[in-house]
Amino acid sequence: MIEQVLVQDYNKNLQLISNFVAQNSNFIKKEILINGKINAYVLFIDGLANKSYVEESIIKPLMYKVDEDITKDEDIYEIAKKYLVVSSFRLNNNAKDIGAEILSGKTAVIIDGIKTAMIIDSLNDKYRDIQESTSEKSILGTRESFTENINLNLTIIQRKIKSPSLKIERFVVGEKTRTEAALVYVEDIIDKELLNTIKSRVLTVKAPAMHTTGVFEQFIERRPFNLFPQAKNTERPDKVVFDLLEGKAAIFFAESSSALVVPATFIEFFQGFEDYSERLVIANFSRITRFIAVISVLILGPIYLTLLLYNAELLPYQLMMVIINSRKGIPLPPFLEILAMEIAIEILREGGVRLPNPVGTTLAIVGGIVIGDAATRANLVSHATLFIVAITVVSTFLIPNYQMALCIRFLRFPMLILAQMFGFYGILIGFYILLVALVKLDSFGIPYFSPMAPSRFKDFGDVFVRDQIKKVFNEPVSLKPSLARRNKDE
Amino acid sequence: MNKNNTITRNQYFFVIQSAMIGIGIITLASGVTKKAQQSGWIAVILAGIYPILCVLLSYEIYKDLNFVEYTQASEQIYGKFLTKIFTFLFSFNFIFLEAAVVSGLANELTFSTTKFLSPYVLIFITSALIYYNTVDGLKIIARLSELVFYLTIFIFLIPIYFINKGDITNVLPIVSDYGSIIKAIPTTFFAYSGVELSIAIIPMITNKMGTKGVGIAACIFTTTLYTFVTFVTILFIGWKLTSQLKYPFLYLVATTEIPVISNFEPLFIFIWGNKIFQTAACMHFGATYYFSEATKIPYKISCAVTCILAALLGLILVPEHNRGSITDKVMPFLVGYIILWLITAFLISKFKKVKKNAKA
Repeated sequence: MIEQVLVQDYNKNLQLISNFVAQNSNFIKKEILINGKINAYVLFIDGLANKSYVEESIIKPLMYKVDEDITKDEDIYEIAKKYLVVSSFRLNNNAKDIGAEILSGKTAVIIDGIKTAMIIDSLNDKYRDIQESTSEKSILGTRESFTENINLNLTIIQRKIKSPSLKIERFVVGEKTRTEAALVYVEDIIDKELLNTIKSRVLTVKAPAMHTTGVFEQFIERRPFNLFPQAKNTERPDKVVFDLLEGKAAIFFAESSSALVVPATFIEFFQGFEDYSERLVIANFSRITRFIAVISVLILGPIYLTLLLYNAELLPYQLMMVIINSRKGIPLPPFLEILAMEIAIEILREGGVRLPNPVGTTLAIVGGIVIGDAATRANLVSHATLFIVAITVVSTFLIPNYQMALCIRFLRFPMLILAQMFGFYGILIGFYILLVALVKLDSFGIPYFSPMAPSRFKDFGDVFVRDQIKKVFNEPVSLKPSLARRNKDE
Repeated sequence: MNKNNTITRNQYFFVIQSAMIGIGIITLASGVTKKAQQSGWIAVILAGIYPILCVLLSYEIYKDLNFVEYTQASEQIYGKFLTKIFTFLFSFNFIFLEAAVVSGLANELTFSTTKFLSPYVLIFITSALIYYNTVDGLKIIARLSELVFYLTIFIFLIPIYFINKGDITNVLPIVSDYGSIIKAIPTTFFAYSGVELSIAIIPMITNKMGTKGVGIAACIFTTTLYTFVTFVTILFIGWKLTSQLKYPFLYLVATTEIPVISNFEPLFIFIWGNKIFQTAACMHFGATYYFSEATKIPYKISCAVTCILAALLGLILVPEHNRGSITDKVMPFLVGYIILWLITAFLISKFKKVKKNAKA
């Protein structure tokens, strides 16, 4: 067991603290003389802490300004208060804690003869500037997106919600990474019961490392094998603010440029943020188009397959002739034809994601045209199939949330297999299984299909279509489990 | 009370209409026109008294007994021995109904869009699906009933398309013979069956205020839908053809050409199929609940056992003429048993309440 409490000898203290900090070349142990006679060490990690700030605000005042003796532990509080040009500092005598603070970008000062160290905030906050989101584009919304700097991200939220009810609870997660995190909510809006549920899961996560919000999401969800996202990942501050004002909570992580919003319901993954900025009718038209697109992704391919394979009698004669002519000489059975095209498109898309942005887009477009044209010319795929697959692919782009888009994209494969095996009945059971799976799911105690099931008629103003904006901006009762319990409505 | 089995007052509406509306939509017109000819739709309205009676009496019984759970209520009324027997009978009632619904779906699908699959395969797959839906209790069934209810509205819209295409002389004279209308009523029992679920679920409603009204609303909604569908079918294709067809409403939706998918049939089957799954799930919950109460076997195991029993029974009900003749024979007995149970329980509970009040 390594001793952890500091002693009077500053060299011994250096050894104690060094046990908890990796001995890398950028671990700076600057020895200084205070008031020309008192030995001290200034400890920080170069790069993690802002070196020029440490020199200007900590080392310089301690070396040249201090003109009094430091004989007892209480003195250093006065010294720090009087001479350090810093916004915040604290005292600590536990070597392990001091080590952890140094590793998170702070500076420690240990003085000979004193059993307490000064810990000063000196985090280097040189991060990427606020930029426009690349994954969640918006036409009418704001242009800013989160960065990897947690403090800046929280500031953006505070700038948008200037309310004393906005609460930020800091916590650390990841035993090895010791990642700083923050739980944010609006105290007088969020339901107390919901907040307790969120806290009980979020603040008790035990994990060796925490890299991104996506990793954290998997630690706090209840049904890991369910395909649907149970929390919403976003890098847009305006979306987070909207959700906070609805009574949700957001979780931020240091070094992560997105926030995790909880709880999440199924419908909201299809509601674009622009829906609220656009004119009512236009916004609803866009939203309905989006839902049609989702249904197209899921069942257009399977229906086409079923009609070709089992129920050709359901096609009108003229349409049937068009399809027959387009399929003449195609050696592949319809199932393999569709599956091959779908997989080819997925490969192209995955390739496009990994390449630099302009190249990726070019690859997706040119690759799609070239492969589609080559496949039809080689008589491997019919024009009709290509048309159906192209519609489903384009439809996936209408889903505003990336995680949900991935999920819906994946689901078209089992639907296709069910259609191949059982025809129309396969599509029927596939759709029903989806419904049951969605209804069984909940996110932090909030039913995933709310406000549809269980029906919360007050929230129906913003589901498949949205009502007038003044009626939409109410706190949804679906997010108030304690209210439902009080009204015996659950 | 098991938390997985509690439902809201609104959900009671959705569950009750979900338990009833099913196979009846496509078969009901055929049965009633055989007996009451063009006045068959009037028999459908009159038969609507049965579900209303069920929800009303169930509510009154539980109200007198302070909404205790089914077994406790039944034991207070009938004693332990009779309760055991009655609970088994209720369980059988729902197993039979579920089997009839699942086999009805299989028969219909092999008749229309899924000719290449054996009805036996369809029965087993559907039963597995119903198990998945039911295994987590009434709460999930109720939530799903809410969702599927919105699909039911589309079932309403399809006959609206046909309403001005019919021939009014097909439904004239409105009343042909009162006797035949009365005789046609028992043929509707299967369409309205499922409403007996209210006997089990009223104590599971969290907010009981207004339960009676909600139950009646669900029955009126179902009766209206059934009447409308039957009326439009007779109006469009006449009672003679309606009485000769197995699935007259399906025939109706298949007659109009629309682009891409030829006619309304696949669209209707898609919506109706979801509805049937839900109806079967409601009945399966009834079967499981009573089976579990009678045998004291845990709910989840009971759910699997009753699922297998219903699937096996469903195999006997293939093809459709088998199903039709068996349900026509069995249903009057089951309905008779339920009405008798309800009326007796109602009278005893009232008598006990009066006696208790007199003592106080």
